[in-house]
Formats: sequence, C-alpha cells, structure tokens
Amino acid sequence: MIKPAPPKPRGIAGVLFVCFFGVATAGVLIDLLVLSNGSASILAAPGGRAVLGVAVAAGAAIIGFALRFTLGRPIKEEGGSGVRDSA
Amino acid sequence: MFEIPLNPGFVCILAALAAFAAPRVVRPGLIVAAAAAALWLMLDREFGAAISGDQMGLPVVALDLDALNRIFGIAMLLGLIIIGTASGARRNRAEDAAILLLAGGAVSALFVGDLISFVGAASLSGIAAAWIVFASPLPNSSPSGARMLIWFGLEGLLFLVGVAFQISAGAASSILARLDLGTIGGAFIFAALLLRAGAPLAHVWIKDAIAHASPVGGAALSVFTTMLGVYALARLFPAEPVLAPIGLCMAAIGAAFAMAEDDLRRAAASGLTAQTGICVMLIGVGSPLALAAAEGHAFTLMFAFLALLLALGAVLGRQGHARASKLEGAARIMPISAALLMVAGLAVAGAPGLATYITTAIALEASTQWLNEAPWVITTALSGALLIALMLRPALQAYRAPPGALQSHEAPFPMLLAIALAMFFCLSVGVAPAWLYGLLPAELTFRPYEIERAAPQLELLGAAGVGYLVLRAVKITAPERALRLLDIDAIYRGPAAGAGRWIGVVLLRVYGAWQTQWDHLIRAAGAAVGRLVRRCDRPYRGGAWSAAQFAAIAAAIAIALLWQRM
Repeated sequence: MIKPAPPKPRGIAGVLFVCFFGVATAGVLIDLLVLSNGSASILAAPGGRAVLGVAVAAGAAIIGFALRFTLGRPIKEEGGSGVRDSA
Repeated sequence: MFEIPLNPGFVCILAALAAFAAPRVVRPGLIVAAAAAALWLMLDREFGAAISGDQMGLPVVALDLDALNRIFGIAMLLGLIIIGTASGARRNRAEDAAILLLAGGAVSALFVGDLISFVGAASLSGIAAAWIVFASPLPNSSPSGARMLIWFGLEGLLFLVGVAFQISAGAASSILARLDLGTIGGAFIFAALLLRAGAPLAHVWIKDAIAHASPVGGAALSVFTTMLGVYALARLFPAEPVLAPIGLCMAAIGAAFAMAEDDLRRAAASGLTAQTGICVMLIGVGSPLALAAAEGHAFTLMFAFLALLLALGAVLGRQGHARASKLEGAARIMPISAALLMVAGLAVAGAPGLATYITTAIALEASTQWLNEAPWVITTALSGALLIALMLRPALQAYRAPPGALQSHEAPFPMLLAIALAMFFCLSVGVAPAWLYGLLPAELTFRPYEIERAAPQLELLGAAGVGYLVLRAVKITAPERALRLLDIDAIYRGPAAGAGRWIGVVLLRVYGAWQTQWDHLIRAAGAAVGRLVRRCDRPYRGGAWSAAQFAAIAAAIAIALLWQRM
C-alpha cells in the first residue's frame, strides 16, 4: 500500500506576497503618476525605488549564499533549554 | 520650584545597590521606579550646568543638561522602564543589578560635563555591560563576558590616554566640548568612541554580547551601549568628515551579516550596527538637519530594537533558541509574540506609520547634503535589507507550521507587556512625530507623510518584499540552515587564541627548564659552600692544607710577638 505524501507545511508567503505586491504597486503608481521630480539619478527618478528594492532583494539572496558559503560553519547542538532562572 | 541637583544616572546606580538586597517581587518595580525618578530629576530642571566644582585644579561638572543629552536621556530612561517591566518575566538578581548599573553608567555619562567624569561613567557602563553577559544563563556566556571585558578594557585605555593628552593642554580642555581629531588626545578619544559605537573591526563585540546575553539583558545592551557612543560622537566630533565613510561601512557590513545570520539575535545585533552606522554617517555629514536626524534616529532605534530583541528574547525563553532554521511553528506556539516580532521587524526597517520611518525620512533628506549619492543610496537600501533580514525571514519561518497540533506556550505576560510598550512608543512617534521634533536640539518642521516621501518608501519596501518572496519561491535564496558565520572575531577567537595558547605553553616550558637549571645551579653552589664551611670548621684534621694553615697562624703569632719586643 502506498502511503500518501505528508501535506506540505503551510505558511504565509502567499499572504505576504499579496500585501507587498499591493504596497509596491500603489507606491509605483503614485510615484509614476503623481510625482515627477525630474531627478537625473535613476534611483531617485519615479519608479527608481522599486528598482532599488528588487536589487536589494537580489543582493540579499546573493549575499546570503556568499556569506554562508564562505564564512558559514555548522553549529553543534548545545544541551539544555537555553534559558533558566537563577538567583 | 523644588529642585534636586543630582545627575539622573546616579539614581540608577544607587538602585543597583538596592537591587542586590531586594526580593524578586520588588526588583521590577525598583527598576521602573529608579527610571521614573531619574526622568523626573531630568525633566524638572532648566538647561545648563548645575553641579560643578574643582578637584586638583580640574573642573568637574557632574550635571550639565542640554537638548542633546536630554533626548538621549529620555529614550534611555523610557527604555529602562520597558526593560524593568520585562524583568518581571524571569528571576535573576545579578542581572537586575547589572542592568541598573549599566543604565546608571550610561545615563550619568550623558549628563556629565567634563571628560574625566565622562570616561569614568562610560567605563562603569562598560563593566556593567560585561557583567550582564556574565550573569546570563545561556551556554558560553562567561567566555563572551571575558571578551567584552577585553574590549572595554581596550576602550578604557584609549580613553585614559586621550584624556591625559587632552588635559596636558590645560585644565579647560577637560570640559566636554568639540574635540579636534588632529590632536593626539582627540584621536585616542575618537578611537575609543568608535569602538563603543561598533565601527568596522569593532562591530563584533555587540553581536557577541547580545547573542550570549539573556533575553532581557540583550535588549538592555542594545539601548545603553552603542547609543552612548553615538551621543558622544555627536557631542565631541560633530561634522567630522571621516565619520561619514565609517558610518556607511558599518551600515553595509551590518546589513550583509543581518541578511545571512541564522541566529536571529545576532542578525538583530547586526541590524543595530547597520542603523547605528546611519547615525554615525549623519554626524559626519554634520549639517544641522543631519545632526537632528542622527539624534532623532538614535531615539527611535532604541525603541524599535528594544521591541525586536525582546520579541526574539521571548522566543528564546520559550524555545531555547532564536534561530531562523528552527523557527518553524513558532507562530502557532507563540501567536502574540510572533505577531509582535513581525511588527518590530517592520519598525526596524522603517515602515511608514512607525517611528523609524520618520527619522529615516529625515536622514534621507539630510544625506543628500553629502558630496555624493552613496549615503542616500545606502540609507535607502538599508530599509529594504532590514525588512528582508529581520521581518520577512523570521515571519516566513515562524508562520510555516508543520501539520498537526502544536501546544500553545506563549511568552510570560511581563515580556509581552514590555514588547507592547516599546511598540507603543514606535507607533506614537510614527503617528505623531511632532513631540519628537520638540525634543530635538534643532528647530525642525518636517512633514514625513507628504506623498513624495511616503510613496517611494512604500515602493521600496514593497518591491524588496515581492522580489525576495519571488526569489524564495523559485529557491534562489539561501536555505535556512543551522550555522554560525565567522567574522573578524574568528581571528582572535581562532588563530590568535591558538597562537596565544602556543606561546603560553612554550613560555611555560622555557620557564620550567630555566627553573630546573637554576635549581641545579643553586644546589651545586650550596654543596660547594657546604664543603668549604665543613673544611673551615675542622682546620686541624689531616692534609697539607691544614698544616699550612697551622704554620701560617703560628708564623703570624711569632711575628706579632717579635714586633712587640722590638
């Protein structure tokens, strides 16, 4: 008899995605439609913060991999529950 | 009006002594009462020096109140009230006393008006900070406390040398005023303050300390240690251009480690370093707006990181760890703590509606006054980076519950109340920033919720969140694994410590060999002397030498007799 696969853990990634997508869309629309600061800088131009935000996310992924690969060391499990009262 | 001219920090120091004798039920109230009394002492008086005198020809100013130290004092003492509330969640007499001593030292250092008193109070707070780590019940806290003592010992040495050079220029030079980085004394004090603020290479001590301190102790360290460094830099080295690149390096290093650390308390400490770097950068920019932004940002950061570290401490207290890799299901076990953790993560990232957004907006405005765009870009990007590191990563793990029932085991009520109090201050400043402006040393009329300021911040945070979630969904982000990241401290905890041990062993062996040889030498010399003494003791027993001695003595007597007769 084939056992059914255990259900995948549920999370809030979907909820967070909807929330952040809504916030980002609102921000970009206001930035593009209402504001026109005429800045020479790409990042300060309308929509530039969205580009910077995506760049930060990509940077977070790259830095996460790079630092963990180069500087990461597996940790030994330490006994005990961690925090105990004293005195 | 009835006034007591007493440095508010002294109240906390006296309360620290009382905390040793007080029973558990009294101690949280004692901490809160001490903070409230210190607040009353501070707010109930006019600006200016109140207690001053001369000791050995040097001016000693025990209390000098102005707008700069008042804003830091209010934040620290409100923070102490929150920490006192949280301290009711556990029982640790030594830590309670250490927290009061740390707060007392830091607040005293804020309000003194001369360099010698400042160094004394700052060193006291450093020792108390190490004591907090020693008092922690977590594993490996004692070695971490010893490392902190070394760091603060080094800081104290730099302070002492700097103050000695400074005083050599004349007694008036010991008054707490702007110092010149070009002088030797100024340079040493500058180095000591960078160490306190957690500048690059010295950024490791705050991570090390917070990760090994108890849940309440870690939160206390975030309020009273690095922020004292920020205050002193604003007081002694405003508009010092070298601070701008140093602050930007702090922000970059802190953000990078915050995004990659598995231990969320270490990640939070790195985030604190990053945001402290923004304050340091703004002090370096040095315009009135930038200095106001630095002071306001330090004020709001204290509450945001207090809330975050207390929330992470609540998780640590219940689950024995605060690691992202092991956080699955935490939201089902501790739903209120998890929700507060998410809001605190938003607060440190500068989400609109919360206090740090206000000061981030002022900081962005001020950072455009620098020579290039680097401060503006890094300050802007830091909000997105901290959103990912300290809000998204914990939330995604904590709300990822494995199937099946998990028993609820929420954090103790005092802890939740303390987090809620910290969040209240974040929200109240975020919603009504006018009262923060009223505390700033400079006149400020800034509208952070104008659409050209709020919309781009929402755009940035939203895009960073969406980008990270998409990358995570396609498994391009690094998986959460139980690991520890090496940092610059790996050198002195690894190879340098190994080399030190090796040198110690070699020196001990050399000393042992030298001692053995010395023993041989002493024994041989003693034997020779003994032989000589024994021989002298029996001069007439056999041998040519004895006969010669006898003949010589007889000849001497004969010559003496003849000489007398002549």
